[in-house]
Amino acid sequence: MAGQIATNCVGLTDEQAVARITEHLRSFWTPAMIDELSDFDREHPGDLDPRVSTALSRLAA
Amino acid sequence: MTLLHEPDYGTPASTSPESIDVVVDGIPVSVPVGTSVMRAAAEAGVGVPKLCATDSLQPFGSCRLCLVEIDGKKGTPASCTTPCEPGMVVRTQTPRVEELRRNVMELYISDHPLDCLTCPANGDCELQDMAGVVGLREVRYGYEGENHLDGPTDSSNPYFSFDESKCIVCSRCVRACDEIQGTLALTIVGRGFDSKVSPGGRSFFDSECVSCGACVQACPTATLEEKSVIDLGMPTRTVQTTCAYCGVGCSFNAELRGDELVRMVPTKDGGANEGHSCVKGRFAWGYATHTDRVLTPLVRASIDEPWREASWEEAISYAADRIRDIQSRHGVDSVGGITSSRCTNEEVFVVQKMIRAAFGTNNVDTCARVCHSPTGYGLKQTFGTSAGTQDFKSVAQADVIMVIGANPTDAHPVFGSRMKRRLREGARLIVVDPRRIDLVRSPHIESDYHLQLQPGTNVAVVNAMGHVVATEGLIHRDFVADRCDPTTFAAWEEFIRQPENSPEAVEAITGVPAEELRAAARLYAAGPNAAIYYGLGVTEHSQGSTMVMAMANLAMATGNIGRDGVGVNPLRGQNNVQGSCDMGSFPHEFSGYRHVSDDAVREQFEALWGAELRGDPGMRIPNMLDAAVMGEFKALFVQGEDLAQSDPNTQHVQRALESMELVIVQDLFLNETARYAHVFLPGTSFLEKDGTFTNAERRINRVRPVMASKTGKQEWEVTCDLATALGYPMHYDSSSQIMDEIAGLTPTFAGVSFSLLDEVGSVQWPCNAEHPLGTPIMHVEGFVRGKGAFQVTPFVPTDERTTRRYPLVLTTGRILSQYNVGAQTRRTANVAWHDEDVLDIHESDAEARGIADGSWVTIASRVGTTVMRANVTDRVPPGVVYTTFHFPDSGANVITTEYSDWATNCPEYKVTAVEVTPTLRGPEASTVVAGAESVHA
Repeated sequence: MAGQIATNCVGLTDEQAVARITEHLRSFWTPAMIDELSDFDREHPGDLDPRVSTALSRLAA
Repeated sequence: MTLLHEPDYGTPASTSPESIDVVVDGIPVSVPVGTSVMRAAAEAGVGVPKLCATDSLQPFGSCRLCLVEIDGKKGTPASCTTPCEPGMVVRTQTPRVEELRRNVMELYISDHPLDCLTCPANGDCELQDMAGVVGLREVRYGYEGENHLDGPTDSSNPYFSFDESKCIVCSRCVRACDEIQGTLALTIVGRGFDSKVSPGGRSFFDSECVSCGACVQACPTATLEEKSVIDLGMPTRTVQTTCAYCGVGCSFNAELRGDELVRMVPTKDGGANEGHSCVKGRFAWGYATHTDRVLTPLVRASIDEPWREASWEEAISYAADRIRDIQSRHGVDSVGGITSSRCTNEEVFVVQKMIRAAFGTNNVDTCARVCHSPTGYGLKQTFGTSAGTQDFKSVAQADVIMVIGANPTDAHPVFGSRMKRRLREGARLIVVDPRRIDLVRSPHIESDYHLQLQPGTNVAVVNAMGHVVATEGLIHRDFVADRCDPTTFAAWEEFIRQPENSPEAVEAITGVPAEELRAAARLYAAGPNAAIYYGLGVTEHSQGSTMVMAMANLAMATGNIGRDGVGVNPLRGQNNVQGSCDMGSFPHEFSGYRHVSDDAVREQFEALWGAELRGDPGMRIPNMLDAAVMGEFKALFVQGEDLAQSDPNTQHVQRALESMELVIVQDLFLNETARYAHVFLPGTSFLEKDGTFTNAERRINRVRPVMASKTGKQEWEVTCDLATALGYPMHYDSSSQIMDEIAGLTPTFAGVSFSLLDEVGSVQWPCNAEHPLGTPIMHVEGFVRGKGAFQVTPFVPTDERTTRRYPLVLTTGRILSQYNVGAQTRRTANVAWHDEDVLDIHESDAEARGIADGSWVTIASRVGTTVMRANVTDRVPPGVVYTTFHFPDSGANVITTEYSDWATNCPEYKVTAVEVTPTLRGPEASTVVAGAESVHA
């Protein structure tokens, strides 16, 4: 799902895409879902779209 | 005919702003220019006898009963077809016209059965009334001459009969079918004495009649009569309420004898329908008293056990204990609920309140997830509000109508009739749909352009239209500069002008010829008033939200927002799906679409509800199901939804439900979801409810109880009992009190109350101090969000691709006579028209596979298989197949996939790669009624 969000950021700059993904996760995902994705990102570095990884980092901050 | 005789002015009202003065029987009256003499008389309080005239139809002048004398004019003109002139002096009662009227009535009665006392229309017959009004005392012609008294009766339609012997050939029925419904199924055949009404030389059932009932309503005699009136007798009282089928939200007078419903008659004052109806609302209400109704709570410890009847106290207590037990072992968020899109606003509000305040979680979602959630997302991003922009009446001012992924003549029939009326007046039409829907070509209607796109390419098509608008100088720069955010507009314009968005660049993937797409775009941009109407063919895609935003971009770029005749109009499917969303059924929003993280809003709810509320979003339905399969989500409260039939990837839904420890279903019938339930709480039909529905045009209508609750409780009372049993006391004295609470907490509903609705009929939200009588057209002075926000909408192809193994694309939709999962309509005589889901397949695809029309076929996707009969047709293009989802046995969702909209998880029902092969046998246990489990141990 997060990858799909990132895919639909075609045409945006990386910063715009990160902002959109961050806002989307914050607005619509449960904390548990975000944690689960963050765990996946930590355990499988590079598997997620890098913009999603950046968004997760911002949410954790 | 109706019990409640609403005033009939004889001819339609004129909309002219200029007035003229006339005198009728010495009474001066001022009327708009264009008003007929008959209507002017009625306005003056003078009734002119009439039979062929009625104010819902254009005047016809055939019955010759409404003759009058007018000073300075020769003869005795028909008042219905004579327009008023300034200073006209009319006399409606003179010896000359009185004699002429009696002569006319003599002729009518000489060829009419004299069985008034046993006629089903006795006491409700305009012919009978007019005979009395004109003072008929004898029929000098006798009854021995040639006549029509042995005319046959056509009883082929399940709901009404046509008794030719009683027909006075006033042609009201023919005109009603033409002007109101727009089907043109009826005609007058023969000439003179041989004239008679004919449904095209066939029976009513076999004709093109869509059984809307407009002819029955228009008929002044017993010729066209509801079978329920014939069987039960005339109703004796009436209750005004609202239909529980589609998102049009028609107002009806429920006419009863005691508490037995005799018929539903559409109200002339209905804001959404103005006196019209469709077969479902008008006739298909029998499900409310069907023997399949479960009226007693049921419980069982395991879904492998039979149901056991229980008292309300036991069932509620059992449910509450189980919920708390599960939460103690698996956490607060291991439970959740789904609100209904068919229940009232009040019923939905208390369910989401129970889930948030009593369950302690924001795991609440609604059926809109699987239909118009992209509408909520997309229109909020662009305009600032999660709803359509216009009222239904607005279509009458449209010059160009673009219908995208919708089939209004089937799914929103009464609105479809309005649209057809405007199209017959000359409005231009663009249809964007893989299928040849009826609007593409039907009597007196033909689309200017049918963009028959490949499923899954909506965004490419609308982007290409935007490209044409931007590159051919068709942007409404003044509107954009005045009303839209300049930064987002600049970004969009730069994006949309890119060559990859051109019609030529996307032709190969969309299948739409570039020149045709360019012409359609130019037509839309030219307007002057261009309106977009869309449905689930837009939203139920992996880019559903993107598509909604793309349409909003197009409307803003061309200045088609903020007045009559334009707009972006979602045709919301269910009677209260709009209301369900409004009431805070989404996991991330309170009522009125305010995010749960908004501290000020949340604190307001906490203060009134006396409970601490969560500020983080909860799970959507797909998340709940996934979590259930993972063993993390354990209990679900399901209000009036059947996700085991309606949600995609049925096997996954079933696995999820089976994984839960507790499923509570509140519904009318034991549906597919109830197979996995542990507690069944019987619900109420719309005939028993007391509350409100909100239709697709944001119109809040009253739903009034026609009969007492057959379960002994209102659904909101049950919810309150469950919340109380969970330790969160919840009590209301009435559903009106619930609406008062909604109004107190929800700015867009601030002015709404039952007393206001009783006074004015209905209001469209926002209804508040600024708009005390509601808001028909939104974004008039400015967008709700301030400036309209353009969104960059790149086309991203769906991951669902055809392959050699699955070379066809399946898309799904609705049919007129059935409704959604068919729980209601399958339990009515509507099965006569559609008793199974069938697969539409193009003749070339059928021939290549050796498939004959009507034969059984297997439809297989990578997810599952199902079996249906094939309907070989050219309505679908080669490569595309189509079916409906009204019957559980057809299992349409056994083959739909897990793909969904990127923003909202709205399932991609409209694009499934399949293969279709002949098969010898149909599905097991083929039945037209959903299987009802035994309720006894």
